[in-house]
Amino acid sequence: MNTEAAISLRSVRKTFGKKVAVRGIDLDIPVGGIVGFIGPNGAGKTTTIRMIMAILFPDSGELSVLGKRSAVESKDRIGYLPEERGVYKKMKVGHFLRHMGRLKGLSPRGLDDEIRAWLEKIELPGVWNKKCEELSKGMQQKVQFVSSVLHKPDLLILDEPFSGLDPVNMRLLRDLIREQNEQGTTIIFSTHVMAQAQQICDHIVMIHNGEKMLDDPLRSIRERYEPRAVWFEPLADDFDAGAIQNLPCVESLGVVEGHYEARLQPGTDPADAVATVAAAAPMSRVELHRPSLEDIFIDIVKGAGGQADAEALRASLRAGGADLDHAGMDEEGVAS
Amino acid sequence: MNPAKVIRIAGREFASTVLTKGFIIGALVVPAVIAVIMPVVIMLVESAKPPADKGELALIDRTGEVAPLVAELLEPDRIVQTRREQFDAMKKMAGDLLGSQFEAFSADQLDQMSDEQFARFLEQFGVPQLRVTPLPPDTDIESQQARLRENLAPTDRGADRGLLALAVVDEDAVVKAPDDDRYGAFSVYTVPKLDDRTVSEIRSALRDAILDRRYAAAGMDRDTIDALTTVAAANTQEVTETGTRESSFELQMLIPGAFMLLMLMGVMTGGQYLLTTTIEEKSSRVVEVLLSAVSSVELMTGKIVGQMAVGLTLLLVYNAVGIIALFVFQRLDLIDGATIAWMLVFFALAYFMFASIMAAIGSAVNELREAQALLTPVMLFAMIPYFFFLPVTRDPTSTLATTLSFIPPISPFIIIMRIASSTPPPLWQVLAALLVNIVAVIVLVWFAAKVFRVGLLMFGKPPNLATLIKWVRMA
Repeated sequence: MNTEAAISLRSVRKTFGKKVAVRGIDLDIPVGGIVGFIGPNGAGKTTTIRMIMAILFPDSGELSVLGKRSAVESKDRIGYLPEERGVYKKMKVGHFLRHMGRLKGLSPRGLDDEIRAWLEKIELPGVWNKKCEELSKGMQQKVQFVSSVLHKPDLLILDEPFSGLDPVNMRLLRDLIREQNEQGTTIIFSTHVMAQAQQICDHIVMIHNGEKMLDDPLRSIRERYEPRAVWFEPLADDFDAGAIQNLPCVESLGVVEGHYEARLQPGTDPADAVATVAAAAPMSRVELHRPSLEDIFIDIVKGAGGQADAEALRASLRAGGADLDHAGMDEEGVAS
Repeated sequence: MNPAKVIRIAGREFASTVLTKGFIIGALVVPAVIAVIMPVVIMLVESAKPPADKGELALIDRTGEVAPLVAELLEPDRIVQTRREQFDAMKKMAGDLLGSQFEAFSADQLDQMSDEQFARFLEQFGVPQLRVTPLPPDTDIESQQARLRENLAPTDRGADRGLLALAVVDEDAVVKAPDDDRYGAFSVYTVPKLDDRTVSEIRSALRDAILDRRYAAAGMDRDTIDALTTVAAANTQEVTETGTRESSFELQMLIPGAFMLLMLMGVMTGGQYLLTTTIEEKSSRVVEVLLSAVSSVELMTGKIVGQMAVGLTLLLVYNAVGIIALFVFQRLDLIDGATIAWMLVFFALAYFMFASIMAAIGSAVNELREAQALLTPVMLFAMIPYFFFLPVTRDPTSTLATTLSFIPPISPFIIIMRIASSTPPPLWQVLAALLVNIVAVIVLVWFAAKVFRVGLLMFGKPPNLATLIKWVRMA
């Protein structure tokens, strides 16, 4: 058990009846890290998080959270925004946040000022006396976020924090999460939308069917999964596709999301490939396409002998991905 | 467990229930209004005594024998005496429950009153003051009715209103006519809307006087006949170890029943609110947010304690109303502090048992409608004290009552009925019941805590009892 880590899991397993939700996961979350829990719906992310929060208890295995054997002993140092989140509908926003703050062990002194400052920060000044039910879903979500960070936690766990948010608020929340991390808070960010994790996290844990498939820093994942494709747009509509297809560095040619995609032969130098493709025909655009976390996830699942239908898995992972496009957050890993 | 967090949860639970319009109106305002209205109503009833009618009663006594006695019976102090006798008789029948408004004065006190004080007393108690004017037997009734007609204009209350009524006693009212086998009677003519109790005084005086003269005419002694025809209501006495005491219906039945009902009401109200708020927290998904700050045991304990305070509030409010009622009727002797203390103890135990079950059910279902199936057995248990109310209160020391005293969760309701009865159980039985209930509370809270922890995060098909037991094993 790594007691230095913010969170440490050893062979943690959880079943519900006959269904195995988590199959013996080992995990260490470093202090100060911002870690993405990614995986499709039903992968076991929320169950793992609930066990970390001591809301559920593992059937076997050991846990350590902020140096304690259970989160129960350190709940006041943890902020948690669950996926299944709600508010007291009839309660006034100010009273709700005050109640949550007090439950987290905050002193009443200065608490109201702190809450007001946070309401300003999330661009909701003047909602103190509004009943929670009078707020839109997005507004409620921001209020819930405040309730999870009000007590300046050492560990912040966010389960699908962007679901249901509009692009503007998504950006606001993303900045607030980064700000928390910059202040030293360890953050676990769970999502089934891989692109979101790619935006925020410096470390990725992939979970599928209750098993940990990947647990690495984002940088090392990028290094490990070299670009394997070149995307291009020819100038002329009647360009000679065969000329590209027959290039020695090209394994296959196809159309993906409106681009031509030349998949590269293993061992090809990406820089050479870009130059070769650009020289083969007049082009308006040629770029090296890095694999997204989604691509990597699909590859890993396939490589692990998973029988999952890759396209179905991809569809599941992309649910909600459109929000991110609207937010104007371009996918990283795209080299022109 | 962090007590500060439990208190915080309990405080919110209490405030969010008690500070709602529904609770304030339903649970607090109604008894408060009753408590305020009851003395007011009694005051109004007291003040609505017959108006002190002052005026003349013209009496055409065709027998020539009745008039002097009628005049005597309608003397105000005689009316006071008659009313007092009637009230004493009524009091005896009602088993002393009403207390005594007439204890306020005694014959001695009346004798010592000055004329002015006596006039005020008559005014206060609405005793009519009638001047009886005997008229010659051959007076024309029509002419006297014409006099009544002249007196129709209303006059201030308390002033002498002149001729109020005319009474005519038939010639054969005391002695039958030779050719008739029936006695004559009397007729009364009054101004419109004369207070019916004044009319009643006139009629009863006439009746009494006629009877008196008939007995005399028949050569009988009235006192002898009254004595022969009256059987005094016999008192029922209970023989106890220390002597005898009057057997009292309300002591045997009403007070124990009231204690049981109060407790049941407090328990079920608190339990019902607990069920509702748990379901609300679960369905609004706020529960997982709460579980990020407190453990499920802290959450459940806080909620149970908070709603216990709600039930207790209700219990104390109704207790206060009951005590005010007993105070108004001057029967505070019917209850004692020890019984109330025991009620609070057994209330807490009964509440913890029912509340644990309610919390478990609330956590297991997704909406109130789904809770009905699981609630049915709970409600049946809650009905059992009602079913056994009569047998237990009739015979608090029976084997049935004793056995039921040790069967949770109905035990607290049965034992409190027995404690409040006129034959309380021996102390060892109370202590044994206490112990049994404490054990039951521990078991049920343990069961509920397990179901609560798993149930709160379970959505979908509502569970049955078997599923709940599976959850207990799982947790």
